[in-house]
Amino acid sequence: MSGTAGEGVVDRTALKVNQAGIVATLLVAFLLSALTPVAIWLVPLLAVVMLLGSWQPRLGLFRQIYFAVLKPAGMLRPAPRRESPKPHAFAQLLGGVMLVLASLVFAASVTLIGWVLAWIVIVLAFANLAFDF
Amino acid sequence: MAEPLVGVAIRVGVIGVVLAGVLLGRAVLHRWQAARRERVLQSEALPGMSNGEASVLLFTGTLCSDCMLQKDILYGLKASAGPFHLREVMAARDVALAGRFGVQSVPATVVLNREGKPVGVNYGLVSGDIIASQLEGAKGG
Repeated sequence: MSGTAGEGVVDRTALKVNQAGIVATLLVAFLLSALTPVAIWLVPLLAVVMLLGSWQPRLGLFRQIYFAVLKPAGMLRPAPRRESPKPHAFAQLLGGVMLVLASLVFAASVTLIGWVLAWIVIVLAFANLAFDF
Repeated sequence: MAEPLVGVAIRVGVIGVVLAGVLLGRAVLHRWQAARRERVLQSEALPGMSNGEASVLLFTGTLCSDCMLQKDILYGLKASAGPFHLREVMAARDVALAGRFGVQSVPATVVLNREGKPVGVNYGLVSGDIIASQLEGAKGG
């Protein structure tokens, strides 16, 4: 989740884009799963994206979209803030682990529990995105 | 044929219910904060908090980025809003003082007047303008 622009500096806009990407991906997966079971594959894919991003922020997909597309195009303005990126990386790691668990539960065909786990990630990411909670 | 559409409708309903729950939770949290703030503002001056000038208590914690930002804002105010006493309090270490001012999360700031009576209570990161206006009231009182 980290949007590190340097040691001890985090771009808050990158964090927001990441949170929005997580929420949007999971909601799309949730809605489309009513039409096709293939949509559930978005959950393990997102888990991989989140775990990679927590390990190496530059590997974060949504962060890359922000820094490579949205920011250069002037669609979003950077909001650098002096802070440690570690808590954000840890939160992303926890979210990724939660989605790995959800994926395992989906694989065991216990769909309801899988979505409960995914929804925990949705709610926490949304609360952070909308309310800076 | 209609079964998938029913599934989509149910999922849209779930999204709506969860969103409503999150917003309701947020509203409850705001009310609770307002009640705590009101209780603190109506309390008497705390012995030992009076030092003859307006004071700001900054409640902080470790790994709290907003606390660092709040601290920067307060030090900036020291230059622009005139003299005031700034005291930094680690909320987790001074639990009694944090509880006295209804602090449940960091950063939190409490503005005290010359007599040590709270005249401004802020839970969460606040702008320098808000603190400056509370300091005006503190110095006036």
